[in-house]
Amino acid sequence: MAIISVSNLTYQYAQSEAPAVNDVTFDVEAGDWVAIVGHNGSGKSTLAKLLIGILAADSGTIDIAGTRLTEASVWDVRETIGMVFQNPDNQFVGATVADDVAFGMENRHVSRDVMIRRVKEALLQVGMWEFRDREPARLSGGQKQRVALAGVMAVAPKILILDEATSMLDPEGRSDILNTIKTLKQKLNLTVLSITHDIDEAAQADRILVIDDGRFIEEATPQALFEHGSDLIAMGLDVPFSAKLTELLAQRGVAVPAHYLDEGSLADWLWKSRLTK
Amino acid sequence: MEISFDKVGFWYQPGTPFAFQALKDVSLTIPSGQFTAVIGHTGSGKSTLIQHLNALLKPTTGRVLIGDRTIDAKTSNKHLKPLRKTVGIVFQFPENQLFEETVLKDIAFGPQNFGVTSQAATEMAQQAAKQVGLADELLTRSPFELSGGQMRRVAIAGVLALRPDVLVLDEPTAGLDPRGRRDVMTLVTKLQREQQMTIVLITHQMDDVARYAQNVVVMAKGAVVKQGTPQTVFSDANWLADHQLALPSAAEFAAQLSQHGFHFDPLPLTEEALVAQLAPQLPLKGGQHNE
Amino acid sequence: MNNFMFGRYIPGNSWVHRLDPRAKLLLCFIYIGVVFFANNFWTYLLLTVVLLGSIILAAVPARIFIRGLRPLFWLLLFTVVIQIFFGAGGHVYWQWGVFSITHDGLVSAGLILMRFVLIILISTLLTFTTQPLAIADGIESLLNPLRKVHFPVATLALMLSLSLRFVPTLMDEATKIMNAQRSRGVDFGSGGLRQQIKTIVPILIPLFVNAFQRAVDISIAMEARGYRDGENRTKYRQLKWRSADTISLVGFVIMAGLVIALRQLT
Ligand SMILES: Nc1ncnc2c1ncn2[C@@H]1O[C@H](COP(=O)(O)OP(=O)(O)OP(=O)(O)O)[C@@H](O)[C@H]1O
Ligand SMILES: Nc1ncnc2c1ncn2[C@@H]1O[C@H](COP(=O)(O)OP(=O)(O)OP(=O)(O)O)[C@@H](O)[C@H]1O
Ligand SMILES: [Mg+2]
Ligand SMILES: [Mg+2]
Repeated sequence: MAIISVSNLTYQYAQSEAPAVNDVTFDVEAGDWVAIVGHNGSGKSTLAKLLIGILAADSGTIDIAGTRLTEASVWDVRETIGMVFQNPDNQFVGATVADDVAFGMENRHVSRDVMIRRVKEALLQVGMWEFRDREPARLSGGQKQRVALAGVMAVAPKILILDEATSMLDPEGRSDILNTIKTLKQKLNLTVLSITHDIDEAAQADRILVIDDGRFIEEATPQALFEHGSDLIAMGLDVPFSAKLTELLAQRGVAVPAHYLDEGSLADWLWKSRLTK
Repeated sequence: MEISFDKVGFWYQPGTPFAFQALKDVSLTIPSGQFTAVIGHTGSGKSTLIQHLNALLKPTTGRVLIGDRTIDAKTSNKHLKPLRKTVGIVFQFPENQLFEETVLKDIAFGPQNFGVTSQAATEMAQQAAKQVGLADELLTRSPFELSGGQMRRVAIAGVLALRPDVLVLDEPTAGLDPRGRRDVMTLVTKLQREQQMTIVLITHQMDDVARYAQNVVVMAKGAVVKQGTPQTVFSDANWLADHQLALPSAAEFAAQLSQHGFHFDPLPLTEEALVAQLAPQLPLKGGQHNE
Repeated sequence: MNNFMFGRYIPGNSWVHRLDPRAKLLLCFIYIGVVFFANNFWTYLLLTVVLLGSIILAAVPARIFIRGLRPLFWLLLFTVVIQIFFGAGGHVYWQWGVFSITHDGLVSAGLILMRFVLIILISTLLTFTTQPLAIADGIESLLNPLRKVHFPVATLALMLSLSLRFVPTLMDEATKIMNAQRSRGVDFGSGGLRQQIKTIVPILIPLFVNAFQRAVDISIAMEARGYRDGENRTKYRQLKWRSADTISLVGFVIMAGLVIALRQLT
């Protein structure tokens, strides 16, 4: 059974003329990695806030791990979902790294002995244990995001939602967080829902959902979606490097394959066709 | 206008237990009319460096030559204003500085501080808004009602309206979606190519450095560890890896292909350069052959 | 702004650094209370010796304490001058209209100065050696008895520690905004009052807008992580009262007793 099941979800902000999320329906299977992409203002963050019950839907339903999301069940649902936001500073509420990781557990009445153990486990998982006594002012953005991940992992959620969790980081911090998430997902069999503009992050997904003006307009594997080439820009994504290269080669009369190749397969193809020359 | 650093050292909070040397013996030249990129790992001192370009920070030791002005530790804080007009700085996340009721007023704020009449300032603002591609109907809106990418452009226009000779940008594409990033980079290169503006760009995007920069400054732990054309800076992959810097995607891919018998000389830094060298090494459509 | 040392924490691991924040808060209260009982040379001597001893145990260089006093210099000078000119009684050395310099005036100015300096130094010692968060924890723990009368101690403590957490972030932001506006030609600290007020607007509005957005983000993040106001929470951070804390507390109580005894000497 699907761990996230959304049907006919609609939400409109009070002051606005059109719904920010408009009749959205989708399922996510346990253990899947699903990316949600779309240009700025297409409704991605609104959808995420609906999923954890920070906003209440105008109509439609959300079921998380078999529980219908209602005003009464919202706190139980939040036990299942961990969320990492975009701005590294605005989700770091503890005075030190260890305090921040403990925050979610304190809210859930976890006893102190258990907290001490889980803070350590979680910080070791994200490679931040040496920094446990640091204040946020003395951490880089990427390090703060890893702490945010640790804080979420410490309460052992089944679902991880990332709302542009890497968009304010430098490329190094970005790939660093992405690798940490990949490892955690595998080890703990997490379900990941990542909202992103980053092509490398989207490429990690099993499936990509494209949202435009509050509606889902396409659902595809990364492989299939990347076939769109320069149209990807309109979906809030960049054109993959291999697609740019393929297009330029074609312009020079090289007989490149018509379908999308990722960097590895393009390198293989180039290497083989060189031999046929 | 040329700017040069002569053995500049800079300490944050000198004389306290928190004293920290953020720049060490920095000597460099930013050539007039060129596009200079400043790269380096997080915390290497890039933002500290650029705040010396219009004397927001003054060197603790050494001196900075900005056109015909010399700035050192003893320079008085008075009479620095003309510098702020010749060297315009767009800081990181510049949308955080917007405050006026309307977009147009916000853009006109800078010129007005330099004693331009409000009518002239408005004209300068309109022109700057056009340069960054802001539609006319947005000019009467509140800057706080705009999207992230639009706010970023308003902030850049606010600096452009000063008509600086040198435009300095600290990670202007950070946090924007790919379309926003592309728009900002197109704008910056246009300013340099069409108006011969001197551009200084801090960035983590090596592909942008390879594509647009004529001169690259590499910082590490407060010191300048390399300076030169993109071709020289990116020539040594091992050295870059030691300084936690990446190669541009094209160079990375070319290096990978070299291990499978392809030859590249010089190392291509952009997709176009890569394809130009790659195509002749491949068979053409319909069995034609390259010579 | 960066060179401002007053009220900052200086990391360290000295004997004083390691004391329980509750103990340090209590010691500080006792000391400040006792300062108001001091009335003669011997009492001040004792208080000064205790202070210097504590400063030595804290292993923070003396020049930093002096830097800490510097921003308060004008306040001190002002108080002293007022006391000198308006304190009356005893031998009159000099007089001009309502202004006079008298023996009693000089003495009381000296005492006030002494009290001021002692109080400032002991509080500076507290902030130099105690993390703001630990002070917040200490206050929460000392306020705990108020829970009985349904005072929201936990909420208050969380608010205090959150504000402390964001002080550096907001200061940083203020510096960034000031730099951005300077680059657009704003001249801070020059021109008349009207001009000065005008330069504050481009700082305050962005600062306020950003702080508000930040507050919204933070509250969403806290809610997503299961925070509910008014619900009981367990605590990760725990204070540990050790024998050193008891010893120093006993020491300070003895000092208080001595000061009260020494008062009789005049
Ligand atoms: N608090 C709010 N009040 C009113 N309208 C809002 C609010 N938050 C968002 N909106 C509007 O709802 C729409 C969807 O916004 P949302 O933040 O979900 O977009 P997004 O896809 O996350 O965009 P981005 O890529 O920029 O993060 C936008 O048109 C936005 O202007
Ligand atoms: N106001 C300050 N007080 C003390 N130290 C500072 C201050 N501002 C910056 N630093 C320190 O100076 C060093 C250089 O900082 P700077 O902001 O110039 O780096 P950067 O290269 O711009 O980094 P990034 O890529 O993260 O923007 C860092 O170690 C930083 O912690
Ligand atoms: Mg969003
Ligand atoms: Mg920087």
